[in-house]
Amino acid sequence: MNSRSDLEIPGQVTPKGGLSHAAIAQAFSAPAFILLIATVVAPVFVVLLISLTDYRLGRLTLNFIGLGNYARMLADPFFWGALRNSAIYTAVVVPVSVFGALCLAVLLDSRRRSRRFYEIVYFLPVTSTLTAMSIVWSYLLNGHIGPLASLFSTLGLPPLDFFADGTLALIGLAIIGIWHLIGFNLILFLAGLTVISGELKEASALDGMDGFWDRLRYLTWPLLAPTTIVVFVLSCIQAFQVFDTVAVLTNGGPYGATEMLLHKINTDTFTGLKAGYGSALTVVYLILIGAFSLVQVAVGNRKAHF
Amino acid sequence: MARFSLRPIVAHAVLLSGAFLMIYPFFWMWRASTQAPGEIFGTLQDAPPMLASIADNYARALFDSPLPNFMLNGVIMTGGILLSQILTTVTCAYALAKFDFRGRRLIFAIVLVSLSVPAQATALPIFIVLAKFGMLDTYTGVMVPYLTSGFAIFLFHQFIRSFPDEILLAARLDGMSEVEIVIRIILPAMMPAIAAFSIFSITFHWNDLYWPMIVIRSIDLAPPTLGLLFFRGQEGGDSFGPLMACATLVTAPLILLFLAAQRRFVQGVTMTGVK
Repeated sequence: MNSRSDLEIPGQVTPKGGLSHAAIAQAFSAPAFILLIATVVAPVFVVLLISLTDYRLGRLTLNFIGLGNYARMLADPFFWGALRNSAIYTAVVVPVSVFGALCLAVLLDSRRRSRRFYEIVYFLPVTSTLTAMSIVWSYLLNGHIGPLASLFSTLGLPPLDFFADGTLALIGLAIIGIWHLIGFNLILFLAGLTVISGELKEASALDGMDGFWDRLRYLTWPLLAPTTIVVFVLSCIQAFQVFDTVAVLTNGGPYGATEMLLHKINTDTFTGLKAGYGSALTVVYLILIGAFSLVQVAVGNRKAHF
Repeated sequence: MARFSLRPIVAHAVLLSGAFLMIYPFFWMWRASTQAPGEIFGTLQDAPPMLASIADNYARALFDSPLPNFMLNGVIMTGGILLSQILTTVTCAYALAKFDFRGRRLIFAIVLVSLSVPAQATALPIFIVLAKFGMLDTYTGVMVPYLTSGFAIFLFHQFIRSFPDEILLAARLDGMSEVEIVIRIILPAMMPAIAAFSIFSITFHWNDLYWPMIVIRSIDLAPPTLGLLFFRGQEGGDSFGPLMACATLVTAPLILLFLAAQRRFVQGVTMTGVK
């Protein structure tokens, strides 16, 4: 990592003003260093500390209560509910958006002229403002007004009101999540396919392998394995961070059916003012996201060594 | 034989139906923003001409609602964050990539750790400090957590590392100071990386709802995302057309930016995948 130390040129080129190179480098990195300490490192430690107290926002005093918040969390059905909902949401969004994107990427990779067009179209939701689009989706998935409702009534089916029913509301949020994420995954897979395209052509020419599914299963997917793991982990992180759609569409309702981890942290901490308890939830959230990131770093390093 | 001719058709059919699902919400939003109240749901028989509805809805969104103010707030916050991020990260990345100094490893370790700390996790302590200094509900308050970016440092570091040392050495022999080197050599060479990061940063902060929802209380200071929720809460069902016009106008800047700079955009957003 210190391969750049050869720029420490002794003697002949001393910078103007008599400052050493090391001092200049320290001055150059000081603002970012101080800000990273103040806005990332210190807050993480403060959250850890607050999670051991009974602190409430707006109060002047606090008491250390040890692991009390964590004990309370383990006994809190709403915590388990939120964790379960986040897990279900992730278990729906991640497989569909990863596998769907993979299939689309394989289909798209062999298209020559239309490829750009599809890339742009599938990527549009990624760049869109999810808060605004959530409002749009609330009408699209509404059981009484909107296009889905008229489609259902034309087909003679009973109305499907997504955000009035618990299970359906979670599925509704997952549909929006997939819509928002699939283009992002598609682009990552396309990048991965470009890297392996040489090997791919050679191998399929040798084997004479035929059929879309065979090629996908025995050839493309194994070669794409490192990309797939990165896409999978990133999708999990994205899915566990779902917030905008919950805040705009359901606020965790009906009756907590769509309460997710991050939304619960937000409401408990800033609406319920239970800062101590909210911090304990935040620590759980940090550990989950940190674990996903570690997997990603591990995979990334393995790929780099290849 | 038949299979060979069938395959591209099936592929196109799948791709096209997927593309339709991707586009449809945008199409519906635009259509809803061009129609008179009630018309979109088929209850109004004598629809006024579409142009009149467009004019009406967009006029109400632009002149009768605080939307322009929301957009301005969004530009100030997003722009301020981006400017501060670039100012603090370019020099730091240069120092990390091209110098050996005490603390270099520590800084690098902190940069790597910060990559895996989601912004929501640090919200509470920053909120408490902002409250202490009376900085809640200000532009500064929105920008504070994002004044620098570990991701930008990491990215720029990877980029500068491959910059030829001979050029830097020659510049020093010419008597250039390090500050001049950063401004006149490093910065221009880094433009592709800076552009890609800028797109990433602008997209993230224009769309951010979580943090503004915590810090901003007054409607005058709301960014577009939060403003849309205010607007939806205030107006009844009869302002459906204007609401959709607002949603269209809030979504439009990033969509237009994306269409204008697709390559960089895809680069910028997928860079999160390789970080």
